[in-house]
Amino acid sequence: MAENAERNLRLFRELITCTRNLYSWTYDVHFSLVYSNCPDADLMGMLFISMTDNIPPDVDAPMLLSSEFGLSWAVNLERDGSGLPLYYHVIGPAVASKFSIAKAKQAIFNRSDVSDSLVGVLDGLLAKIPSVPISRILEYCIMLHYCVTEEKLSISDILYPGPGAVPREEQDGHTANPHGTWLMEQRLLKLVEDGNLNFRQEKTRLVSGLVPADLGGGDGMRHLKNLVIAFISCCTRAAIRGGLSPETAYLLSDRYIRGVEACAVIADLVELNDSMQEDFIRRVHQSKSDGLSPQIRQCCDYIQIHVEDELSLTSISAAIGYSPTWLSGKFKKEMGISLTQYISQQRMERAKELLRSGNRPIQDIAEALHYKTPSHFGTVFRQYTGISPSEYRMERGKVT
Amino acid sequence: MYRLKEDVSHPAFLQKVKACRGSVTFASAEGDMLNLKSALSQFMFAACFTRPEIVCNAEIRLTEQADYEALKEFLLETEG
Repeated sequence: MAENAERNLRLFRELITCTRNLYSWTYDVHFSLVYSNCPDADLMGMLFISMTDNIPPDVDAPMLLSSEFGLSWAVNLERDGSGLPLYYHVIGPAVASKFSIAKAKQAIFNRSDVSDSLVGVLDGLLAKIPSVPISRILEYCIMLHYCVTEEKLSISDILYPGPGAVPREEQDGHTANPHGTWLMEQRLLKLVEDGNLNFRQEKTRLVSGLVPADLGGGDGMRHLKNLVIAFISCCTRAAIRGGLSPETAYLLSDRYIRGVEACAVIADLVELNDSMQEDFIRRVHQSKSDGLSPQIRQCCDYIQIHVEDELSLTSISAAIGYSPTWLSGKFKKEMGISLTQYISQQRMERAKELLRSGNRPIQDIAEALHYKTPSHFGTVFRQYTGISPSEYRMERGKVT
Repeated sequence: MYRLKEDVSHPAFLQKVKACRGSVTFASAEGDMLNLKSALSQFMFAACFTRPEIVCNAEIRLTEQADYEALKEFLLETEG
């Protein structure tokens, strides 16, 4: 271990144990234990080992590992002098959601191959694990990363690998400062209203700054979903104040709220929350800076949001309330291209996004974007990008 | 039939189980059957260690005899 990392970690571990029975661990890259200050390392170590398949190899970012039982660990990779992965430093486990535990216990209870007595032993185990608010665990992630790398990151840089339930804030004597929450919220919404593209520097405070009351009736996942839905509503209104058309803002709001309900794990919810805020900010920024009339801006927004739907001049005109002839003429005058060309352009941008981000078959993408045949889609794509969809996927796609 | 040794690293045992080719099952005297290659069952397995008598009386069952070589440092062969 590098001398600085060792010194930093030693102090950090001591500081944590001043206030909590939260333990530190160091594993080699094969997850053999190198160090732990946990007095019950055999038992607690098994909990971590049961989660290690979710840790992506060779990732430098701080990670929050969450289990479906509501347990969390902060994890950070250390590299040696030549850049090779050396150790995983870990803080945890911590109970962040007692409700998740209750749900998981119920799931186990319903299994025919598990006896009641085995369900009972869970209580003994969970009694040994400290309860720590999720915002604190996220801060520990950032601090652990600093100890190992001396690099200061923000909470928005944390990765949430693998499946797991959303942890919930637990009462630990810590009382939220309602004025701090209000001020923080206003600052975040101001970023949306202003269409401020420097939002990333500020965003980190959302997670650590807001410590709301339980909004989920004890259900950790519901709690965080409600929190994100409430934030979507606030962002929607801030975007309208910032100049985004109400129609576009509400369409986006509906889409993101449906997305929240579809989220099953913390990683999806965090990603959706980030994309939602970024989307609103970029659209407000665009509406302030592109010099388009409100009508054409609204038309562009409508096309972007409905890019995977059947779109025509008639349907768009009807949806936004202008005559097809007037809209078509005004669109061409302001945008310099026809509405049909713009739809095709937006579909190509969407196709690029889909090709980059997953393994969806090209035929499915062609169908989703309303091209009659994959070959027609391929021809249009090649005209737009200069290469075929499969070449684009090979060049730009990420490994999933 | 195998039982788990007491004086070994059980996290290391779980880590080795992940690399096994066949199923590795923890079968308790109460009839619990935990497939130790599943994360949820590994969690339950860990919980069993809060009541050592459950572990002492449980069997480890392997479907691939070759996996014994990887796990033998953690297992005791017993009659049955």
